[in-house]
Amino acid sequence: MTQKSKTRKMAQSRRAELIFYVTMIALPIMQFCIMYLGVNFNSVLLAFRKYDYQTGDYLWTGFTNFRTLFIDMKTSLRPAFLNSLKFYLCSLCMMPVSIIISNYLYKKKMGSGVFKVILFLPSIISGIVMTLTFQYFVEQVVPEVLGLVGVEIELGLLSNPDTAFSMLIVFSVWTGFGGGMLLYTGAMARIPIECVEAAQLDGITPLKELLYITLPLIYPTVSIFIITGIAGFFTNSGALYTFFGPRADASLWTYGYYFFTVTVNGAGAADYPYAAAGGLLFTLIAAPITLLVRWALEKYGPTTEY
Amino acid sequence: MIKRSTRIMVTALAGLMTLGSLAACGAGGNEDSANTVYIANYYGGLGDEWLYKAIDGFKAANPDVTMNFKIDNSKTEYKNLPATMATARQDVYVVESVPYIELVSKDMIADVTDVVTEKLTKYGEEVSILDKLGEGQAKEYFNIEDKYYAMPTYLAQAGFIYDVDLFEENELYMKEGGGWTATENRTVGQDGEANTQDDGLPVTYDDFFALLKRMRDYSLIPLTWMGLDQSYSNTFLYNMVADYEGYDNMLVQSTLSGTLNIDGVDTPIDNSNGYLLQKVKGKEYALQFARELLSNNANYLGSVGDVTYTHRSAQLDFLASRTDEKRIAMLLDGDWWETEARSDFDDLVVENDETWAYGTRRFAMMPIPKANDGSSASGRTALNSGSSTMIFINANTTKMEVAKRFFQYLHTEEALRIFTQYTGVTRPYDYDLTPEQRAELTYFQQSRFDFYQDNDTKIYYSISLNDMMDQNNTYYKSMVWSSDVNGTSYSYPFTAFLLHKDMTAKQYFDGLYDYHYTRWSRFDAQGWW
Repeated sequence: MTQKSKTRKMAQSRRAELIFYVTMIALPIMQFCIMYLGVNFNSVLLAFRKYDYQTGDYLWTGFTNFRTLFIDMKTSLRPAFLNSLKFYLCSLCMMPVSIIISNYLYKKKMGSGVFKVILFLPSIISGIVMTLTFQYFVEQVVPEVLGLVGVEIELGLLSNPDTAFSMLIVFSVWTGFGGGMLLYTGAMARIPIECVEAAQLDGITPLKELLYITLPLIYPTVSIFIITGIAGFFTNSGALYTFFGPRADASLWTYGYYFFTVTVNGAGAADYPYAAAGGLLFTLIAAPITLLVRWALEKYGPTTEY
Repeated sequence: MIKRSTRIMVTALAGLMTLGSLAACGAGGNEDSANTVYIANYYGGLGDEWLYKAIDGFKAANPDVTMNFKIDNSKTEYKNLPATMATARQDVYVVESVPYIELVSKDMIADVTDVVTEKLTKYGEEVSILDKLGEGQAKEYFNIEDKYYAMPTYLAQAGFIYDVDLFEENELYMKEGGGWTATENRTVGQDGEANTQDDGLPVTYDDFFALLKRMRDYSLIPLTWMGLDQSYSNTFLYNMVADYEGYDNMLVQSTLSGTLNIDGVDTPIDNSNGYLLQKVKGKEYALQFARELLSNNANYLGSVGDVTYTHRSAQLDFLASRTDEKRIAMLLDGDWWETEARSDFDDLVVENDETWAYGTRRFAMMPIPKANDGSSASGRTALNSGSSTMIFINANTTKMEVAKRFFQYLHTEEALRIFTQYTGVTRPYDYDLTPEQRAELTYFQQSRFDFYQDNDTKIYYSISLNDMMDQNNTYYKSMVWSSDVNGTSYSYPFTAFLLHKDMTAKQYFDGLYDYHYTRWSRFDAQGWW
């Protein structure tokens, strides 16, 4: 075979590979362009429009949706801000607990296998089962038990708006624990055993090992949780829809829940521009804060490579 | 370099997956879809037996129609109709929660003006569908630039359903001249006429609470309702508002246009001061009623404050308490409840005997009590909780001619009767039942049919007839009972009163105004005035 024909065969082969590659990649790229870029671009435009029932068209309306949103944020959505903040702070507070328990599991201390099953169980069992179990427990079992000790309560803990939010946080922590621990224990499992053994030979205590070896080495995972938590501030629905559908009491709303119900259970086309304005505004707030926190965490946090 | 065999295999797999997903789009088995009219039906509490019977009736009356009809209950997310209808295979829709104006504005539903205005002579009737619907709010709502695109499906009201047998056994009817009775010498009731169904039943709020006291004295539990959410109780209270205010005043709630007496002064209402609607007396009276009802734990079953307590649980408790030490006298539910609870009746027959059967036990809905001072509007105004239930045709149907004929048939005297015969629920049209059909209805269903067909009953549809509210429909829904009390927002008076025994009706009532007054500037920002 001559050099020329060899080159031609290779070129043909490359072309065939290229066609194969393009064919395979075209669909996902197309989907990304339409379903992500297109949808988001349309949402940005929608934020400056309103739906006209007479013509069925979206008309330009400037910043009207934002003005409406600002008024709502000062009135109807005030509890939503506080509730979203509570959810975020709660997730931050639970992080150290999650890390400590993950460390316990990672170290395979006494009963860690049993704990692992108990703590992962909510992540394995179907969501609807978990929801119903929790619902019946706090609505029926708890009032019954309290009644036995002489404490009568009028409403179940979820039905009572005064206690419902705390129950939502408990549910959120309970069901979210497994996922967090899975990632932390995964990150801990990657820590080079030599590092730990060397430190143990030097007589390091378990607490110091956690603080000076484990934490710095799983720091990228921790920082991811902090960063995604900020991004989720405006989108966290906190299981409200799971328990109450679209009819949760206004005092329980979070931003995520409110905009979800406006979109899914609202007036349809007329509500989309308002929801789009909310999405755009929250992105404008959350994106720089997220980037800033990421930058700060990277700059001031421990640098580890292994 | 990728092996040729691998490439072929991957390509084949990708092709198969694509074909598979495309095939799913047209999943219809061996059905002759071109020759089948698909009907989307919201199964809900009414089921689909009536629709099968209506299809049979249509085919019998139209032997030239050779098409098949298939009911498809699978599309239950009717709130997403604007997103799904364009590609849906359904030709005719009988569904709930319909965003009517949006569907019309997007040309998604067919213009049926011709069939609703045409006299139904081919079915032996000298009136059109619109004639049977009559004048009023519904006709105005469905009329868009002199065209009609849908017709309402059914009427329903949330109210106190009482056990007639229990009332008689325990002498819970008011007696002429004072005291209580089972059947003899009852008071004439709200309608002022003897020998009608409301004889001996409470006329005023005070009468109603006197009845509750008597029930408590007899160790009965007066009421139960679902705790899953308080939507039924909200609708019931709004029903009280409608009955107090009367039809004409309630229209102002829909249109934000007209004059109402606010704080003793006749006040013109428009878009700029719509928040004043929260100050109507009817709301204050309804809240006072709710406050008093919920002030005494013995007035209701303990489960009503439990989100795991569903409407079906409440129905079963109400029915099954017959042999309990503490029987439940009344259930807060809607017209559909008896059909919805049909399986419970059957189960109870198996557990007990035939006297528990559906249609054997007698129930009825209590009239809304009137204000003690006589300030309630005269007559009866019923809030229709089936306001957004509609029948319409998909604009994209390829079987328009048959679809329109079927749509028209569904509004004939025969089909209207079939609907009531098999669901027990009344449709918002002027029609009657044959004696045989009436005999097939339960005691409860007969009484409801008579109530709606009575000329003294006016039906108020809780629907917006105002552009500003159409554009802000989510907010419009909050116009009913959202209130700010002591810095906390509430949407359900029953929840607030169950929880806070010290919260007064006045506080909740004032909070209604505060809630909307502070938020009304959002409409100014939108440039509505």
